[in-house]
Amino acid sequence: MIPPDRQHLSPLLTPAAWDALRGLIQDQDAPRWTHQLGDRVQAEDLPFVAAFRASMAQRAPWRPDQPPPWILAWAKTQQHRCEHLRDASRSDFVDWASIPTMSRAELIRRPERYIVEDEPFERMMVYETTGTTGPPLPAPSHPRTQAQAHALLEHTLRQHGVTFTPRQGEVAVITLAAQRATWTFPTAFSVWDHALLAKVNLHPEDWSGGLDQARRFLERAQPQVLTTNPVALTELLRLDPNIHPKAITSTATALSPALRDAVRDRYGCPVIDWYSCTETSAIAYSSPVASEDGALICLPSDLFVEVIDAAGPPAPRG
Amino acid sequence: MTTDGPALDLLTRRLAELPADFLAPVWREDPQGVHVEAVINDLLQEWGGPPETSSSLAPWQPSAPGARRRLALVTCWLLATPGLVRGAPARDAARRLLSRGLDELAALVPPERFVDDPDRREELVRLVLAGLGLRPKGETEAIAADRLKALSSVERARVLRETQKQVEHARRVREELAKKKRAEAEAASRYGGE
Repeated sequence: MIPPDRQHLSPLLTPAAWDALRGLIQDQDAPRWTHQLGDRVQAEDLPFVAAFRASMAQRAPWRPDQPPPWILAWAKTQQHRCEHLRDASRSDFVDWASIPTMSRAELIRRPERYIVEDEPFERMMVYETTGTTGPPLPAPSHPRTQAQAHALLEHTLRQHGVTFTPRQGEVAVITLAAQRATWTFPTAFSVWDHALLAKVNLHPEDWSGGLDQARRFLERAQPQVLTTNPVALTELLRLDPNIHPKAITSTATALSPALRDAVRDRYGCPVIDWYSCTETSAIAYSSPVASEDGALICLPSDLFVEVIDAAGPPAPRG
Repeated sequence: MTTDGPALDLLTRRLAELPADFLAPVWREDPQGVHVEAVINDLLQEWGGPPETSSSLAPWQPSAPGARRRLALVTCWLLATPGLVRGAPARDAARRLLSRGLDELAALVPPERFVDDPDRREELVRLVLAGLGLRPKGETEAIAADRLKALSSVERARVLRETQKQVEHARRVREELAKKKRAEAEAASRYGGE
């Protein structure tokens, strides 16, 4: 029997998936879990996730100075529900430049301009951003958006030649942190066949048996993928668990080539620099091609990346 | 608004001089009231249209909205300006105006304001001209359209409604952001390594 509060957090959780999740929660070496989180995905979201996956496969690769025509077409369809885009409608979206720019400061000052007006608030979620590039801000999101973002990791792994096969009952991903205090939780993702994810913190206070317990936990979980950051990667190398991930992604701050190479040499898998921010979800990933060392490739998602200067128009390359 | 019409002043002056009978109560709302459908019938006959029937006059029968019937009466006076409505297309356009074309405006503005208030006078004149496919003498189409939008009570009411909706949306967004920030555990799990 799935507890009602857990079913509320993960509406599509099945009894079998709950059994597997409960196993992870109660694992003998599990850390002190601080939160219960679910994916909040409902059945009506699944076709959108499938459509998003399909659209990624069809999109042309990102090219600078060439905004894809679908963005303009999409913006036109949204102006009746979004004040920011309504402002642009005066120019009737004749070209890319007619879509006004915005800033994090604006998102803090007038969030209502960017939140669509006809979507029920019940499913709105709020993430507090880390504020790496400015003051922290409450970033609104939606479970469907988060569910679609799974396709971004799938794509990245595919580009790096990784066969990612999330399955019910297995740990697909472990998200590693290494900081004084952070959220830790186990969960299951319905868009990944209810495969498991655990976010754990490589900090001694999170484990009653210290970091040896963390090592045992990781070794038993054997995640297919680790998603982490440079600080936690350094800690991982120190802990040196015997795990066999198919890939490791690193985000939040820049990944140095030396750290990347050290992790890759130890674990023998791609170590992918992953550029993401809370407001937009993932944006780009490091190229799998050795000759393009350090280069980031934009994900073929619903984003177009452009470098602009303070006044708004595109800045010259370089 | 493709054809040059009469001068605006001519029509606004005519409206300012509206005979009091055109602002009288309408029948059934008042036992002594004006039979709007009879006035409209007379006007349509004067323009040389085919004979009217009770069903063709249904938009102005006592069962029709009172606001429409009262504004139709005022508009009849304007449309009766000699030479303004000529030919079958203009007749059809005038009929459309009188039947449903001014309903939104009629629901917002009492009929006497189209006499007392210079802006409302100009608004009704411009609406009638636009409805007949005419623009005020000496104005370009763009100027005529701009001026009509600027004066439009319907547009102003729409902007007001939109503004109120936006104010309500902003209040709700701030309230929900604060509420959900306090209950962060409600957010969905993510796979990212932040």
